[in-house]
Amino acid sequence: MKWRSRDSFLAGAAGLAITLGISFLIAILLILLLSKQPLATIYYFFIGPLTNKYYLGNMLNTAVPLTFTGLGIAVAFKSSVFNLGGEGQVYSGALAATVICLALPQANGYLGGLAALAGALAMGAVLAGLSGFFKMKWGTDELISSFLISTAVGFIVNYFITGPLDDPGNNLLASFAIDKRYFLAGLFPPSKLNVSALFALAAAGLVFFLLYYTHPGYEMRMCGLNREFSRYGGINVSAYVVLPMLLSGALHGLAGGLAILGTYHMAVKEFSFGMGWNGIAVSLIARNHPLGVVPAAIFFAYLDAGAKAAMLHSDVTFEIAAIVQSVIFYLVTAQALYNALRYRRRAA
Amino acid sequence: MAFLQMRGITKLYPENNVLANDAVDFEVEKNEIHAVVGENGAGKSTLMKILYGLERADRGAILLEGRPVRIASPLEASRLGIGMVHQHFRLIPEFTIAENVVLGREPRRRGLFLDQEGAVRAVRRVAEEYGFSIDPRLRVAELSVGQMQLVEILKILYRRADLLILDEPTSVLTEQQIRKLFATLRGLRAIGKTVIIITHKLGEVKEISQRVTVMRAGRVVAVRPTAQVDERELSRLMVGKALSLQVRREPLARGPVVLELEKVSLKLKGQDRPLLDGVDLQVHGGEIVGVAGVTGNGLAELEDVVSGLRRVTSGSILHDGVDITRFTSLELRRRGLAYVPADRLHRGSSLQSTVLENMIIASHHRFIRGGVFRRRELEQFAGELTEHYSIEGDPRVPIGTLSGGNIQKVILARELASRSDFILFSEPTWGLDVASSEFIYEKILELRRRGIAVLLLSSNLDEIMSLADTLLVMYRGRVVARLENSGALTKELAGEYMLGLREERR
Amino acid sequence: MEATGKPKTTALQRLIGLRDFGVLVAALLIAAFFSIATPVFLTSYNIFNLLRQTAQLGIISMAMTMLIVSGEFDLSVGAIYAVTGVVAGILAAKLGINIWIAALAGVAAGLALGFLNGLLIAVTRINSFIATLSTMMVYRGIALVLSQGQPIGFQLSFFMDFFGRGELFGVVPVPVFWMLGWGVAMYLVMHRTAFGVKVFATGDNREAADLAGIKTMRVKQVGFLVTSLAAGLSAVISLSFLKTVTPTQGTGLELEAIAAAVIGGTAMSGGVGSILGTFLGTFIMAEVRTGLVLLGTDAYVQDAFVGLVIALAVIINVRLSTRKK
Repeated sequence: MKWRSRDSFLAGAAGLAITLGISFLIAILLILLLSKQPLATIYYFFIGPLTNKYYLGNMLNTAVPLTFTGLGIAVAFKSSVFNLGGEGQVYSGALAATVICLALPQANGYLGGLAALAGALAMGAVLAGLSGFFKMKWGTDELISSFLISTAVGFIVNYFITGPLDDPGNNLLASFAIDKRYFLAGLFPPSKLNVSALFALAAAGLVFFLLYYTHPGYEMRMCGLNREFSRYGGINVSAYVVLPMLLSGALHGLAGGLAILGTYHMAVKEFSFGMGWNGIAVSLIARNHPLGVVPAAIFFAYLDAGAKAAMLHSDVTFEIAAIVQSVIFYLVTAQALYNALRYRRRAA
Repeated sequence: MAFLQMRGITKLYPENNVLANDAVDFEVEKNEIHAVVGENGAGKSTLMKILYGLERADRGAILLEGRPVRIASPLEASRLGIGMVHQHFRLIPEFTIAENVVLGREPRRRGLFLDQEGAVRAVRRVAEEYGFSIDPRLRVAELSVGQMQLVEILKILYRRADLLILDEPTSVLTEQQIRKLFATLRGLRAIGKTVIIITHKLGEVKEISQRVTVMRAGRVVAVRPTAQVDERELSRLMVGKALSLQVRREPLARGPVVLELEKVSLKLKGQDRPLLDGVDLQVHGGEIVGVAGVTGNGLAELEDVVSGLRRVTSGSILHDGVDITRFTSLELRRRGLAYVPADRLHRGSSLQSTVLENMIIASHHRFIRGGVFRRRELEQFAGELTEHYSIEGDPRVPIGTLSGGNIQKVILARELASRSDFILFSEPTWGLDVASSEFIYEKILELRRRGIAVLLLSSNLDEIMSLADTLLVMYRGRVVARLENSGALTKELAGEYMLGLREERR
Repeated sequence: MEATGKPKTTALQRLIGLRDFGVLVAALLIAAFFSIATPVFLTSYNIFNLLRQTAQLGIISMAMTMLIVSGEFDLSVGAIYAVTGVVAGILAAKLGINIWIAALAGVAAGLALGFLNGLLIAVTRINSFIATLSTMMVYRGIALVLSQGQPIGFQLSFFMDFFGRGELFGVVPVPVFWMLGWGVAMYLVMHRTAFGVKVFATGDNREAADLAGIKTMRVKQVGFLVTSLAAGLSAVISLSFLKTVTPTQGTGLELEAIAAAVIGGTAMSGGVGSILGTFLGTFIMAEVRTGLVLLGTDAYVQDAFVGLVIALAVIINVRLSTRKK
């Protein structure tokens, strides 16, 4: 649904391109500083991931959970609520999926898988929804409550994975593996890319449709932009504090569940670390637009894969990717906020 | 030589092109209580903000005891011995009275450490000096409004202010508290302090001040010794001559009662004075009921209450006979409530959203089929409105990029599209140019012709007197006059009601 | 006009503070519980062990209290803690520089990062939670890059004894003294100086504070410097005790510091908090961990419990904060 004219879209895109360009320059600078074979490193960092099926497929696979968490953050940001509990929601969603699969070793593959995903979704939704509820009832800052609850939950999930669910047979801090019937089909062997990628694309499309073509999507966006105006217009503003959080949490939980069914097949301690935080960066790069989340997630995964390739074939350590990612995160946040502030001041 | 002189003060607010102060000359003698009066927008608040360093004048000079001074911030004003008690208090609720009073000038022990006992003692001393009895160890959050105001005054006195500015101090006080405040002010004057009091309550001007300056439309129109002027004359000076706006009103054809308020009251917890006090109001179809009043007397609260954005404490509101007192904004919208708010930019629109998104905020349900928006119907709707209301601008741009007049047109278009039998306007032409204002007046009269009930809240007397059939005046939260707007009604008369000089016998 | 009446709290309560009193009671109850559950809890060995654990976190959480009271958060303390350690490690162990100077340089590096945090907040006006979330990642990356991902070991020396390993009177671990010193200093600043008043005012009603002439942005920037100083100090103590630094050390430290402050009664919305309360909150967290260890539970159960305590503290804090509104 084209609500906005083309000019405003292009203006935003230009600023983003500049930000990303700066980040690339920083990456190259760091490589020049830290590597003794800078040219080789640059090659592996930027071209490496695209050279063979394995790297490419894994890169796309890494983008899948990022797409979901990015969508979750986009939905929240568009409604002006802040879900900083993504990490815990993903992780506990993964646990929920694992537990359900482990509890149903003999069920029909499709139904069991669906149940697992439903459980993951519900888990994430409940956690985020709790923060939304606190905000609605008592006005607590959901940013902080979601963060603290998520970290608390993380500890608890750790306990389960390394305690009651720990599989002594594998030499990992991980749970028992789920039954093969629940594995999602691979798409691009020998890489780990699987059907969850299709789910990711579908999710992006659905969220886009929801936000821009439907009734609740419109109301959510308007609440996000001007709560008083929305209330004046007759929108039930308090519901739209909780609803976006529920959706956001559900998407995060789904990220965890799909990661288990598609890639990991068992709950490994802290395997999902970073999916939540990077989701924030992905959404910001995508300007909180659901369709933009997909390329943004792929971009992020690309940086990740590049670092891995460089690490394997050249002499740099993994931290370069971490630094570059965080610099991008910061630059994009700063730019997004700068835009928002500038606009508000002009119109006031 | 006057104690304080402000010469040629000029201040323009570029955002809405308002010349708040136009070469204002203002003088205050030492040791007097000087009142500054004027309607809304007369420029008195701006003048005082400049004096207190909250604003900078574009042109002009300030002289204190003959010496030119530069006041760039409240801190500098404070150093010069000028203190201001604002309408909205600037206190830290968690802190005690003593802590608030000494905030920024805390007594120290050995240079670095707080002398908390010393602060309590100092505050007690200042309080006794001026005849207040307070316990400095109470937390401000536990005080009443009148007591908080006292703390604000104490803050100024603690800083050895010689010139005190009070901005509408009595608007939040009960009668009894006003008596006490005046006694305090007289006491301060006796000790040698000078007081400037901004007010629109002419009765109080007569009671407490020695001289009065009248401002209107950014200029000083008169300065008089209070003893030599009566309230009528002050009112006349404040209100000025009537401007006849070129509107023609057809003879009144009143229909049944559409909207009714019965004994509506609004009182907040912790406040001593009700914001709305037993308001009775009726609007018939085909009639324009205008409500006039100076800011702070209940107009804004009336707006919030009629539009359903605030709950009344007691009383009821009826629409077409149905009790809508407890309705949510959603339910009111469903009934077709149409409302053009005074706060155009934050309540009436979402600046970052597009014109189209703004247009459909109340009616977006209409364009949904099966949960999904119908694009063609939306575009048709937007096209119709744009054409019918001569709105300049593509519906797909953010509304914040449009001019003020166009934004108001969008709001108008949207509200009128609801086809309601009742519409509430609040300050509809504030800040707009003449052309846009006339357009809006035309539309309002058209509504009246079509038999719709119009409630018009405005502090612009010229506007109300041109448009309204019945004129209600609010003063201190009560309706103090209900007047037919025939030829006999003059602006001066209305002004007297607005300023509390008259009250109808009920 | 009169505003008289008895203040609603007694003198003793005002000395200790109503909230702190509650936390004190909680701490004592928990201690009682564990003392009954296992005889080893109440030994002096255990108590000093507890205090030593409290010390490291306590220094940071008390500094964090100042920042939270002023209305900001610093999620990068753990990373700054790591950077300080790594810088000191590289200078001392790899380059052979005198340990005292190396440590000083490490703390200075930490201060620079804290200064950067404050600058970022002032210039971009981003919510400090989000801003320090990203600086945390950047600083952590710096620690990883500088150390090349490897831990660094130190030589034993007087420095180590002075800061970490020594025991005064043969019993009391030195870190406890550092924490007490720091705690007293923080207490005096927050509750007994004009600056402390500014911190509370800034967090309670920033507008009013600005109008009263308080430079609220400056207050917040000082808060960031103080937390980074605390992180640096804590890192020095830690490396003295452990003789090693790892670039991943301190992960999760910021969360524990916030949790300790929250348990101690600091309101997340700012304007309310107490150093004594935070100290007790840190103590409670150490109690819970140590007690669970003595009871023989495994590490992840402890974590889970800490998680529960945090969640509980959040909920209680929510109710406390909203009463203020």
